[in-house]
Parts: sequence; structure tokens; C-alpha cells
Amino acid sequence: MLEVRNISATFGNFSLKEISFSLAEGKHLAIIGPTGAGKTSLMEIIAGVRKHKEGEILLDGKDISSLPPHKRNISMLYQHLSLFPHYTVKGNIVYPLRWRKEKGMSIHDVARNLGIEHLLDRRIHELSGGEKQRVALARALVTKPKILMLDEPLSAIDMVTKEQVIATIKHIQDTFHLSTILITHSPEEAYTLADYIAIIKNGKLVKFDIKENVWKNPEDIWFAQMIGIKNIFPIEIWNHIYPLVNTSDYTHVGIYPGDIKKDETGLIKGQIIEIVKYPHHMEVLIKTGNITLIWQTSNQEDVKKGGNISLSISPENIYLLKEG
Amino acid sequence: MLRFFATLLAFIILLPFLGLSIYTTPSELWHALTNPDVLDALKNSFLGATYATLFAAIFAIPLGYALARDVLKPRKLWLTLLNIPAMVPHSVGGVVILLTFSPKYSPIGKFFADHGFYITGTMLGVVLAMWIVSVPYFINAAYDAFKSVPHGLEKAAMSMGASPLMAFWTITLPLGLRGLITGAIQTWARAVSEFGAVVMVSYYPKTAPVMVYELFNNFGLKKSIPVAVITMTMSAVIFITIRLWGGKDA
Repeated sequence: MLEVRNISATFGNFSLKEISFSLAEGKHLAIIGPTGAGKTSLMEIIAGVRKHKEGEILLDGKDISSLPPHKRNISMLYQHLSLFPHYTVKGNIVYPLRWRKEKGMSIHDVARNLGIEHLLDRRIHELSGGEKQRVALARALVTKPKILMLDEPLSAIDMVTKEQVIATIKHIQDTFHLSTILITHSPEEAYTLADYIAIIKNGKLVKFDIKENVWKNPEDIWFAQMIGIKNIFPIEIWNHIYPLVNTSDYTHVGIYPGDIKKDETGLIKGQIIEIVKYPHHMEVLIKTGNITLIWQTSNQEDVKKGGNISLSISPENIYLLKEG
Repeated sequence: MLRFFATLLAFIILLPFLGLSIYTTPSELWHALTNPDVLDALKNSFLGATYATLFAAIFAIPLGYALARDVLKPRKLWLTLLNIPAMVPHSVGGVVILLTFSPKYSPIGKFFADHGFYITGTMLGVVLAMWIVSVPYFINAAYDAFKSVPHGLEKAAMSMGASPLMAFWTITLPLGLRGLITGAIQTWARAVSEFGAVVMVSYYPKTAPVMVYELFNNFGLKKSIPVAVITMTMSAVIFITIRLWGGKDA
């Protein structure tokens, strides 16, 4: 189990403030937050690459705060992978083993597991984006870490590679019996790959819970935006479309695009003004009253730009939000 | 059209050097090549430039790295200051070296002299003069070379257990090597061609540029041409060999 206790650190004008959480063995955490919130700094502190001022980091009850990175049994994969271009794939994978006494995994085992055994003698510039990701993952896994930390592994890659990498990360989570900590901007990726969600704002941990609780309890507008609620409207405007009661403490409503249903008898009537297609779903922009709703649906739906549509939303899927 | 103009410009630059050889004869060249004084001057030039380059590397590699990683701040000011030796007239560089390292003028020079190190009339003086005017080239090249290596690679290496020194040795240095070789070539070329600072600091032991100047001064242009041709040819051969060895971009 990883325990992070009251971690505080200052880097120039930026501070991380009293961050605490724990992650059980084999569980997976996603840290989300805006750019500059301190996600990568926190990860680097846990990995031992950055120093912190106060607090402790415990792994299986042992304080690892003062240990150098390679003695923490934690691997970290940076956003840009940081593969060494002057080494072969094999040279890259073996690199972390050069600095430690403990025996790691066999190079061939880890390479076979990630489907890159045939690439071992290749140079890095000869690889595709997805292959590079798998090589970087193999290098992170070869030391048999208890925790694998991934800094935005899906941010700089195309859609097809992204799907391959998501599948690879899920395969690692299932196969290697380790915990993963993932930094991401994407609520969808966080939901897909994690059991727990941590949200960081201005260096503070503002939320840590199992993902279902986080997803179903957006507290304010900022929070709702972080977790992928794309439909956010002032209550007085929303009430013209779908009247609500008991809203006195709140200013806005939030609705996940995926919680909206096409329904011939639905109360929300509108016109389709745009359709944005993705590989496995599409987002349909619907003008209704003074607002534009975003409806997420599968590619199988028969919708046409300019057409009229009726929609329904279950009341429990309309979240009341405070300013924030 | 562009190729034509580029070729024309290249010829305008190279023509005087290519034409130099027609003003001498094979027998004059052979006579110069078998003259022990000329051979000594060539040896002093090439050996002195090599020592100056090695000495420059000792300073330029850590300084270039510190500047590339913003350890020395403000970077622009430091880079400007460290380029002063390349910007001032080289005879001025010679005066500065004399004032700093001559036992007559400074306590530093006296300290060195007390320990048996003299710069006037010694190979040490030649190397020092070559070094001071050429080291900025190596510092600039090392800065560019290390700046081109993403800091993230070093951080990644350290996160895997490499010490800062080993991260530098296994990642940064190999990736910056081509740029460092380019810097070494520029430094060596600048050092071997140095005249002003060398003649001020240490007329003896004579280097090839000093000998060309002396022959011209004492016996006229004709007598200086064979040594000039030999110096130019040998420099070019060494220069081209190192460039080819260092790769096409070096």
C-alpha cells in the first residue's frame, strides 16, 4: 500500500500543500487537474526525483521519503516517454537494471508480454508511436515495480495509438499485479483506467474518492468541468427547458453528454446543429431554447444535421452545481 | 541559379588559397619541408593547438553544460562575458595574458614562476595564448550541444537510478558528442591559426604563423610562401580528416 502523508513542497512560486492519500495494493489511481496544478510535481516527489519539504511517503509501511528514486520500487513514465535515442530498444529496457543490485524481469519476458520482442534490436527512431509507448512501458516494468506512475501517457498520440496504449495499460494492470498512478487531463481516460480519482487544484488535493463517488458528486462548476460534465447551464435558463425544484443553494446545472437519451416522448425538443464523429461515438450539438446541449451517443444512431430531435434526461442525472 | 551563385561565392573565398600554391615550386616546398626549423614550427603549432583544445574542453564542457541547464545565471550575460576573448583583437588578448601571467606584472605570474611555470618563451605560453582566443568557440558549441539534449532524458535516467554524473555520462554526453566534436574542430582550427596573441606572449618557440610572419618580415613574401603553403595544406588535411571522422554534420 502507498501512503502519502501531508506532503508539502515549494518550487519557485508554486507550492504543493499538505497532500495526503493512500492507495491499496493493486488499485489504480488517476490524478486529474488543470495544467500547472502540481500533478507532475506530486508524481516526481513520490518517485523521488523531486525533493519535498514536509511529509512522508510510505510503501508497504516503510518510509521511502529519503530513498533515492531507484530504491523506491516505483517506476515513472514521463509524458514524452524519454526514450534514449542513442540506445536500441533492448538498451533502453535494460537501462534501469544497470543501476540496481536486485534482479529485474527478464528482458525477453517483459518484451514478449508487451509484444515488442521482435523490436529489441531496433533503434528508437525506427518505431511507431504505439511501439515507443510499449518500449517505454517495458522499461518502466523491467524493474518489477510495485507502483507504475504514468504522466499523461495518452496526451500526445493519435486516436488509433491511444486505443492501443489504453489496451496495453489495462493489460499491464491485469497482468503485472501492481498499482498504477495515472496523470491525465481526460476524465474519460481517468474513468477507464482508474479505481480512484484524485483532483488537484492549485497545489491542493481537493478530492480523493472511488471514481463512482467522484463522478456522481460534482460540487461546483470547476469540479464538473474537470470530470467531463460538458453541459453546464445557469439554473434560470435551464428552468425554461426542464423545470427543477429545490435549487436555492445552487447556481447551475450540469449534465454528462452520455446521460442524455434520445426519446420520442422526451420533453426536450431541439434541432441538431452539428455532429462531431469520433471512432466509437459521436457528439451531437442540439439547439434547444437559448442553450446548446451536447449529446454523446454511439455512431449507430440515425441523426442528421438540421433535423429535429426529442430527448430525455433522468432527474438523477441532472447535477446541481455551486459557483466555483 | 542559386547553385551558380553559391559556387561563385565559394570560389571567391577559396581562390586566393588555391592560388597560393602556384607561387612556389616543388623544390622550394621540399626545401622548406626538410628544414628542421619549419618542422619544429609546424609541430609547435599542431601540438600547441591540440593541447589548447584539450585544455579548452576541460573548461568548456562543464561551463557549456551549466549554461545549458541554467545553473549559471543570467545565461546571456555569462555567454557574452565568456565570448570576450573571441571578440577583442588578439594582440589585446596577448597583452591581457602578459599582464595576468607574467611574473613581471602580476602576483599570479609570480606565483607560477616561483613554481617553475613561465609563459614567456615557453610552449606553455603558446598553449595559453592559443587557449584564451579559442576557448569561447568550444564553450558556445558545448552550450548548443547540451541545450539540444532534452533535460527530460536526464531526469528519466536519474529516476531509473543513474546518479547525476552517470546520467550525464550515459545520456547527455553521447547525445551531445557530435556538437562537442564540432566545437573541438572549431577550437583547434582557431588555435592553430592564432598569431596575434601567440606572438605577443611567446615569440619562441616559434609556431608556423609566427615563422611565416618572420620569413616575410626578414626575407620578403617569396620566402614565406612555401611555409604558408605547407601550413595551409597540413591544416586542411587534418581539418578535413577530423570532420569526416566526426560525421558529415560535425
